[in-house]
Amino acid sequence: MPHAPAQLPRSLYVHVPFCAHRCGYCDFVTTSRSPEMHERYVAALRRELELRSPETTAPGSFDTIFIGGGTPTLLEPAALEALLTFTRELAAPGAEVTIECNPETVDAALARRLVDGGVHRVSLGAQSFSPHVLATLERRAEPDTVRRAVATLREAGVSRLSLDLIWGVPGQTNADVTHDLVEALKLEPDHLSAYELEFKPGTRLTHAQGGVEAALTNLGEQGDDFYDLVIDHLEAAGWWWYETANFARTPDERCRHNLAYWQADPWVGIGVGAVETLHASNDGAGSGVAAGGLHRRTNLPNVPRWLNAVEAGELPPSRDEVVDARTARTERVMLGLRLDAPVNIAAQDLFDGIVDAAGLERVAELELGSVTMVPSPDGVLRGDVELRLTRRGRMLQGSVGSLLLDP
Amino acid sequence: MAADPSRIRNFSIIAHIDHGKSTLADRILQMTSTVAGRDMKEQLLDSMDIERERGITIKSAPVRVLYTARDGLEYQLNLIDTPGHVDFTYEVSRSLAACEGALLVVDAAQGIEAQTLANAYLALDNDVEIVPIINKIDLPAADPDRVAKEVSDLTGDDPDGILRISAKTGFGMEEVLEAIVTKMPPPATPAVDGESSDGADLVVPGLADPAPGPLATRPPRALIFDSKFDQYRGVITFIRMIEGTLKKRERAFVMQGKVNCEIDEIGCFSPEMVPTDELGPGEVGYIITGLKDLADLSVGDTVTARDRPAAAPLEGYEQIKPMVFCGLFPIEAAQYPELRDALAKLKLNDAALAFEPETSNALGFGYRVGFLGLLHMEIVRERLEREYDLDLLATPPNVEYKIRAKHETEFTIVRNPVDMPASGDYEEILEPIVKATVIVPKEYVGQVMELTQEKRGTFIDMQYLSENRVQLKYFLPLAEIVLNFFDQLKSRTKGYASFDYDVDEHRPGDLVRLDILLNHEKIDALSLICHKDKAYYQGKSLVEALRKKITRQFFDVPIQAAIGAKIIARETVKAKRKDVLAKCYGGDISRKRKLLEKQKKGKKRMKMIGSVEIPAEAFLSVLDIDSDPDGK
Repeated sequence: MPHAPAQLPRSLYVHVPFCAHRCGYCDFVTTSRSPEMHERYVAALRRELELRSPETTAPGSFDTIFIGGGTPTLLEPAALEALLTFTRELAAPGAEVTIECNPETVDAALARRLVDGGVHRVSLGAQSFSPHVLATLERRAEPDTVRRAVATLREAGVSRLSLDLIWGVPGQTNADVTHDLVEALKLEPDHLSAYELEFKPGTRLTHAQGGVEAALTNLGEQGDDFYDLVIDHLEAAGWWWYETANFARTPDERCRHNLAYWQADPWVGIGVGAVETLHASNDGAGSGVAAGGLHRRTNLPNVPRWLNAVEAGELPPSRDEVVDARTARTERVMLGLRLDAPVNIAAQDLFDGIVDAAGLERVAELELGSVTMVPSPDGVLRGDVELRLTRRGRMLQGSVGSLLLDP
Repeated sequence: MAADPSRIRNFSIIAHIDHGKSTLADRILQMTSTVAGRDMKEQLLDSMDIERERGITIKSAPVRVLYTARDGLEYQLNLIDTPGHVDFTYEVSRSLAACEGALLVVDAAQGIEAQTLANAYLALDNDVEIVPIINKIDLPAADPDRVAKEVSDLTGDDPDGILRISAKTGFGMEEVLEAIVTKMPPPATPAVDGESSDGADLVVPGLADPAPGPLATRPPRALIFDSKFDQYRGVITFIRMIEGTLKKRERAFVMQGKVNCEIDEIGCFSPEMVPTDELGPGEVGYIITGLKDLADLSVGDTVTARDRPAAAPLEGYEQIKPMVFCGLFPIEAAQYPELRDALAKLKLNDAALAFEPETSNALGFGYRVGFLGLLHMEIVRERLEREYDLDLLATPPNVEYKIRAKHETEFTIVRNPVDMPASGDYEEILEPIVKATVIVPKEYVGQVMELTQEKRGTFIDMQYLSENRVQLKYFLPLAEIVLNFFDQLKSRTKGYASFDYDVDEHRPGDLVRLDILLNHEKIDALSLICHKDKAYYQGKSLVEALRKKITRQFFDVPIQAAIGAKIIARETVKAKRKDVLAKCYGGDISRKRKLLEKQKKGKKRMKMIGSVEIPAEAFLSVLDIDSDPDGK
């Protein structure tokens, strides 16, 4: 059976695992600095892309590139320059290239290096402007460090700036959250990510709270209040709540790279611990993935093993997941619920039970969302519908998902 | 050729839980080489997984062993295992009716417990010869002299003559086998006027009208003492031949059920079923008749031969009456027929199980099921879920009330709180009372008195069994016991108390029905009958327990407790406002999807009532209520 033409991934995620310090809430791979390791690592990234995805090594292969970590800006200057040379080659004209950045790593030289390296979007981990919240999170930056970092990056010409904030931290009050929002907006960013702190098992922070359950019990309904507060405050300031935890000053400031995830587009991921998701048809015949399915691969979070494999010209050890076509369709709706744009539910999704029609009615009945029929271009109604969640529906997105979907 | 009745010993082992009955049985099988070493696994006779897991015996499984005694003769010993839990007393009495002797096993450290007493009395009532044994004398805490004295007070045996053994190490086991042969009588054979009956002159309980003629050639009468359903072979009937002989391929007649059948197979247990040609007087074994309905071969009935029928059936057993009731409902309505079939199948192996269809406005179609006690209830429910793959919802357990309406003289039976009329509409309500025995070290007497008082107990008497151990007797409402009496007794006495009860009679009680309203709708399945003085406290605790169990919904859910139209307590489950996974980037998608799958699976344990989703466990919230009104 002939396959549909492959949808080549247009997004690239690059993971840089290095950090100066592991924060108390972090459960991800981070190792300390070592200059020669950095250069080897960057060289291996290039090699991994060639091994993994030879069809996307040509210049201009990607419309979005996201360099995340870890702390990518902790790379030694030479290694960072080499990485940016690599990503600049790969970026198509007009591509969005983002790098994650810790405030304390920012100085004029770094800012210049980023801009010269073709990075024009920086995501800065501010987390909070309250010293006691930063202390609980074991963050080394102080509120002023964030302010200085923003100024330095802007001076160097970083045109798009995003700040990360965290709410739901033990000891945080409504006033603290408001203060964070006010201070963040004063810095005139273009984008804000406001995350609820997740108590992951095994982290120091969760342990200090007496475990995940206890931490959530301690937080009680305050978490609900915080979320309301964040949305109220930013919407009142004219911001656009375009995804569950993400806000943009204007529609153009939405993160195109992350939108690719939420719109269920394919992407290539390289580096230790990186995840990628490819559509079945460009995955080769031998992959065992049926048409319409996905192949999701996660590199194992072990730097030496990753390095050794790639340097030996082999694909690094990974955990592979085959997502069948039906599950992929479920994921598409599940992810779509995160966005403010209405979710398109095809008549076929209802027919195949991907989306439960009774659940859809229930969502409308509970005023979690509104459902409208979608006419096709020829004006005929084919049974496709659009679901637009209300604010409450978006806040209860997990429950909406379990009403609608039968994974 | 059937065995000589004088060389048959039918016996059972009675013991309190954990006193080593199953170990003793295992050891007997091993010593008589009934089971090869490699086939030996612990608790061999306990064939159900639940029995092995919980270390208890529910179903008695008979087994035949051959033992060459010191007199040089080979004896056929038929061991009829018995359950040790209070709920299963009826199984014990059934087993005892098929025996002439019983080993009474008492733990050398624990001494006599409430159930040991109860079962020993049962044995005495059945004229069964008791051979007491003190087990576990290898334990460091063993005090065989003290225990021997306790046992002697009960059975009248000389304390020094009581066997002291360790079934675990095998010490003294030979003496046990000898005692079975020498102290226990051979099968009792009915004496007929002017005729010797092989020297035995014991009267078989239940055998009122023996037939004349030599024992083996008399018209056969076999007592059905148990049966089980095998999906391939139909009903397997456990019988004890009282007189006469039943043969393979013989046409038989079930006397009270009035059913004809053919004996396709006859045999004994060794411990697996071993076919033989016939079973003679005194022997214990089984028959398979091809009958598929257990009702045709009910326990206590008599099997005879069609061509030489006995004149009259044996006196059967008393019908077992369930004491505790609860509603069982499938969480998914579509499983209702499966629940019905599963209950019917369980009933095949469990004569004590009773059920009738029930409709609940909250839970739909289900069954009101009667049990012997709480453990029985728990086990049945677990078996239904495990062996029949059902997702069930159980309502709180309750007892059987008798209610007399105004201007009526007759009482009606109420087994479901829903059927209790509103207060003021009845003249009198009676509740079942039990006579409870608690045995406890003397330092816990205060705690037991306190608990029984909270549970509306009436003190009967107190007696020292030995210097340190006290036996307390109370009248207690059964309704108080079925909630969480035993758990509380155990926890307040640090596990030292043992407990047994006998149903006594129904007595008037000042009782009211407590209703629960969820989202302003009365949930019939949550109604309960409680004492008027405790209603306020129970209502308050119950709504609190429910608030903790009911997950937050899309809207506020008020939970109210009411007596009649009067609301006595209220709590609210606040609407959920936020339910999102904050971060969802490339690496989080699979995790998020799995979370959704997990949520979906969790929903399967939920019951939709109106628009409120209730976890199945919430229906048993009443069991979480601490009885102590001044407690936390």
